[in-house]
Amino acid sequence: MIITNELEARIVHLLEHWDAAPVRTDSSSIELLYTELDREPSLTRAWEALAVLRLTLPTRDDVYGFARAVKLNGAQVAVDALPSPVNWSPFGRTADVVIISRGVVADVHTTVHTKGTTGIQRVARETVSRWASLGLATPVAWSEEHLAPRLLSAEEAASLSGRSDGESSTNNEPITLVIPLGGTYVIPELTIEPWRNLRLSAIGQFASTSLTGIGFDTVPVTSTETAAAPIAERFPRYLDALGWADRVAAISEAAATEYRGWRRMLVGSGRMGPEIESIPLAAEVSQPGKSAHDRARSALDIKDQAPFVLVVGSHEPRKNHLAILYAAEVLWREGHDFQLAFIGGNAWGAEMFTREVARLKDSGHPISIVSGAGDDIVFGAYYHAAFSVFPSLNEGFGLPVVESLASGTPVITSAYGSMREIAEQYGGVVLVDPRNDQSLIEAMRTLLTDSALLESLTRQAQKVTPKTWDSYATEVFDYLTR
Amino acid sequence: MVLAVGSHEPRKNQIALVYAAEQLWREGLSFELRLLGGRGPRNFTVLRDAISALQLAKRPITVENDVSDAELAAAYRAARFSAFISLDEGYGLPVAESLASGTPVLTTNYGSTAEIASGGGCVLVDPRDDEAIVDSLRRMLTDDRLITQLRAEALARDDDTWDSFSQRLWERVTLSEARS
Repeated sequence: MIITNELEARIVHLLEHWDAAPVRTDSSSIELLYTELDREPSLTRAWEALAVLRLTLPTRDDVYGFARAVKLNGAQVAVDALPSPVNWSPFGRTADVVIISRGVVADVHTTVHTKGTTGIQRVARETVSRWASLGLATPVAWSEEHLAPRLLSAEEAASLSGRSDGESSTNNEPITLVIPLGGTYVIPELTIEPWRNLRLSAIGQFASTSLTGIGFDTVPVTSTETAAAPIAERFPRYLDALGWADRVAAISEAAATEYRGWRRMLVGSGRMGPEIESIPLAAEVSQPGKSAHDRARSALDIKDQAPFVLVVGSHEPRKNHLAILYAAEVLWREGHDFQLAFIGGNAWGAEMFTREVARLKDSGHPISIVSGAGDDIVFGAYYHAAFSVFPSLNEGFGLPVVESLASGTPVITSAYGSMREIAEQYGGVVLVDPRNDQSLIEAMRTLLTDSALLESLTRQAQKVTPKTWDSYATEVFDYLTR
Repeated sequence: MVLAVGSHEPRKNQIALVYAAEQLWREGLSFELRLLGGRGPRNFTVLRDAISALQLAKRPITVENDVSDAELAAAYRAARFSAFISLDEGYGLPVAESLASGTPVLTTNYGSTAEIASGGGCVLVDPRDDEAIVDSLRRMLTDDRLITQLRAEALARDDDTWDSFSQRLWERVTLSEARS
């Protein structure tokens, strides 16, 4: 093994992490590393030695294989048999390295690589950008080869804090790999990539680093019929990684209930599973000014003569938008006059929705669809809406419900899970069975015709002041890193 | 002879058993390790490589991939004990089959295998702890009184036959049919 100054520094770092005797001048650090590994060839030390020497976060097989090699052949032989570190080239090192000792690393690989603003990405951005700006955590994504985390590029950092212009350019600057020793590795998003879960799982199982995460939902397990096939297929590997975690902050009591059910199953694989606590999400609504009201009005083609009914959310099957279209058509045929608008991105499984919308438009019904709308349009639209409708089949939290209430707009939503929790906490909500069309039709008809009820619900909604993202970010950080 | 029955896949954890066997061969213990079971996924090479290396080093380790029921029964009877340290099982037939042959089993200390073991004839171990596996394997290879006692326990068990199992299963499923 060729010992460069940079490698020497890493080895010293590792020995210090192990509280190994300080390096004496008469023995090299690598010899001390061999001695330490031979003396205590634990799986934790195997993980840490592999990560530091190879600059690759090891898999379970890597860790067992290396520990067995040390015990059978001695540390020196085992280390010599390792492939070169990933940052090595005949020209010199190809990447910088930072070892984070007893710090907090937050893995936002997916969030910084998508422009989408799903609930999950919103939560990851609102939390990790705050932790990063306060110097509490180092946000990371993964290297091109998917072998180790690295610091974010300037562009990715901008995307995390919402300052991105959305233009991505190719980035050929050398990267800085991140190797955690001790401390906490936080997963604030859904990690669906099999290669990532393979290595995260080994952090949880072996490293002295504590693995923790935000738990959004187990929809691919409990509402599989509404999950896109690639997500449903990969979700078990995410759960496997989380099965080695120490703590999961579920985003609602309903989500915590799902994760606790899953944790009970882990007994069969000899695992305890993580501690699970419910820390409900924040929801912040900027008070939209006059110009935002006007932009929303023109974007959604809002006419003032009829009540305006708003639906926020992507058109995937789980959001149940077909049921809303059906209910609206029944009510229009009954002679009720109202305007219906959907704000939300197109999603998988939305073909039928798109066809139905086109048909209803052709029949002259007042429907508008907006996708890719910014926050100002969304909050401006809530301002104009008489009420919003969110009869989702399963939600980890249901941000649009709280955002509607925070905008002073009553909501029709599902009578179970996290959506019921929000209703019980705040008021301003009408609950329906999302699988029962009649129940949704009746609720919408009531709000369109009973102005006294609508007024009273609106007054309740106007009193709602949800948790701020500042306070959620602090609360969830304290729990995940304690 | 120590027998391991099960397809060669990561979950069955034969690699940990092979590692423990090598440690004990190095300590000077004399025993044969026989692995019976399907070949498993093509890309699962860790176990195959370990076995090849040990065979080249003249260790008494053999692998048989296609074994008839009669050969399997003979292997259970010939073994001093069997080892089945899977990471996760819905049941663990090789544990039950070994016990039905009167052959003690080293198996996983949780889940369904621990359930089967509660009826006697087994030594339990944490399948993720290599050194614990080495220790248990050493005990079972060297402690004749332990093996005699476990054999007696295995023979004294009152386990289901396939006849009675299938009859009970039939009664249960037709009962629920009648209810619905």
